[in-house]
Amino acid sequence: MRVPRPDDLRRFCVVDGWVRAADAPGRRVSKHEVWTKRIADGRILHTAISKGRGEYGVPLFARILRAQLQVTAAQFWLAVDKGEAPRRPGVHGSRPQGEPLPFALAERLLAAGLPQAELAGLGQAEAERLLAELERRR
Amino acid sequence: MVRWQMSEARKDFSTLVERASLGEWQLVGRRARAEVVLADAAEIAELLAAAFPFAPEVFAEETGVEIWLPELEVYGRGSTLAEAQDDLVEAALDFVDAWEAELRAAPNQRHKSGHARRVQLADDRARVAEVLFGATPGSPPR
Repeated sequence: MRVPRPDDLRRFCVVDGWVRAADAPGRRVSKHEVWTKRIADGRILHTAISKGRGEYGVPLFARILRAQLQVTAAQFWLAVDKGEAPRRPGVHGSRPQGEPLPFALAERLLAAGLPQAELAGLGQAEAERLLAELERRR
Repeated sequence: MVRWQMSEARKDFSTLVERASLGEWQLVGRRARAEVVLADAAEIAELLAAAFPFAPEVFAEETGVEIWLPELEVYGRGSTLAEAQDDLVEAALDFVDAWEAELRAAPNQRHKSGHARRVQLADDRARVAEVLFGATPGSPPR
């Protein structure tokens, strides 16, 4: 498995539209670069890139992809090598083929502010959880 | 356990602190509803420790050591275990800063609150290391 160096993670964050956190006045100055990315459904991704040192190990890289960046290795390297930002339609969980979302549920999700593109790939259980979350925040 | 109205609590705050430090929780609110609790920090830390343990995962590579902290989904790296521990302490502190600022409202981060609070309650790097790795000889790195 191809593994990245810190520069590759930095490049991914830039291509994927992450925002680098500035050290707030009066607060601790970090030795890391802290990056966050807001997703339309309310999720916020977080990663911190430590300075120095070479390639990441395979087990750690796999965890960074899954938990922090929420992309596949292929999406990661496409962003780093070709500058193509990943799409994350599958992070809600795949919808089984032939199982449509109930109309009322889709309508309420859109009314609650979920962008239409985010409906793709939503299963019913995840859609209901997301709706409850969006309505609770309103 | 003592219930205080907000106005009484404001006037007699030192009494609340004194009683809380002796282990008696002080509930404060408007009307009959308790809105905040003043409690002994060590007791809260103990309760959180029992409910939210950390289980860091170590990956030893030829060129160094990497540690993944599944509960906060952060990592540390270094050429030695001690360096990786120190780096993870830094990453955990970075995380709780970001968590306090914006992450705690996010649906994919909210479940980390118990573990994030444990790090917040540790008042210096050595204590954070103890929280993450336990109080073993040779660690935490200071």
